Amino acid sequence: MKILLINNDGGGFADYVEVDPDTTVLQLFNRHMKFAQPEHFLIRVNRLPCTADQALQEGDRVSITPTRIEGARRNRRSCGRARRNLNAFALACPGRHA
Amino acid sequence: MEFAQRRGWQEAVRLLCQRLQRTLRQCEGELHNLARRIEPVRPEHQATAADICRDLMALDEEFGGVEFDRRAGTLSVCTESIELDGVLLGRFRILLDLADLASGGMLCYSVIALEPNPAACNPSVTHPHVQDEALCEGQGHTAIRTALAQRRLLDFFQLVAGVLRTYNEDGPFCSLDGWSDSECPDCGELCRDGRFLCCMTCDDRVCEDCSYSCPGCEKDFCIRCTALCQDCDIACCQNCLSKCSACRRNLCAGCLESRPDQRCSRCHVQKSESNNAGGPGAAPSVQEPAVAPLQPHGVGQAPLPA
Repeated sequence: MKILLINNDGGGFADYVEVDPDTTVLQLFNRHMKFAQPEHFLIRVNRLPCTADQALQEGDRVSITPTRIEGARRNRRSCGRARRNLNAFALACPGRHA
Repeated sequence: MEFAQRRGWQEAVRLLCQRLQRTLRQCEGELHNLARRIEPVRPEHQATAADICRDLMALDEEFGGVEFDRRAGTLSVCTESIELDGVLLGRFRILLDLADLASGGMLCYSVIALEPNPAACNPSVTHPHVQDEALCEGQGHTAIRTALAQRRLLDFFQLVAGVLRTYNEDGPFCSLDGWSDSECPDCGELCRDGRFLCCMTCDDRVCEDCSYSCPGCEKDFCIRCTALCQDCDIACCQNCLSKCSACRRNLCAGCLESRPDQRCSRCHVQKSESNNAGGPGAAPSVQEPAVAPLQPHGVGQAPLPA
């Protein structure tokens, strides 16, 4: 059966994956997040909190989001450049940016 | 390296080779990371209208309300009050600009502190990873961009809130260790907020080391608002300093009170000496003429033509 798996760890992706019937949330997690600890993630099925042994069903939406996501310090020069580029783009294409 | 090879310095050549290899490996890694970052996000999955509706309902439950400003074209949620490493940063509003999102703008959302407790060293930093209302996403960069590209609103807000709830001590705009530390305008040292004293004259806040307690009024002043007593060299505030009645130099109250003639020690001594010299029984002193005698015409001077 097909489910929508959203992995917000690292690159983050959302795609439909094939799973066996009666696959549990924990089994799915272990298959796709091999080196990760489940307690470090917020796992939801159809946008609701779930238990590890909850069986998945056809068309379920499973999202895996890390509980700790470390921010950083933006490179000020590149940030400024990005803003300048955005402003230049907005000036060049006012209709599109508005 | 060529220079070392020409000279036959084998050990130097070996070390330089190692360094070069290490640098090249670092460059390779950096270029790989850069290539990954500029790779356009491929939206394999696009949220449908029904998905967005369910996301909005879930957001409402997750954050206790979603605000949609139709006029401004923004969607926002508020986080709970965030405290990191004992520093209370308050609640944050995550504001998504839907027009910017639709046009593919990179800066389509902002993070606004609702109960701002900015870093003392930089008032535009309201969170270790937020400056000028822009979040530095760090590890969450790609996931946030993917969520936006695929219009997964719930995931986007959860990811941003996740970054706000986490402190990365390796790369903050301002470290939480010195969150309330600010720079003393006099010495430039970073000091804890509670260690600042307010100058009673100019209201500048200076650190304890740079503040002076005036011995006259026992109030605190910065160095610019104090002056030295010319007799005892003690710094006093301007209110507690008086002028010597003869030379107009600064004198503190203590020095002034010790002399009834309201003079500094130098003028006092001079006056005493002149009094003694001019007193009864004293030999009359020969006063020098105030004006130098005129030289006879022609000595060291040239006559001016009429």
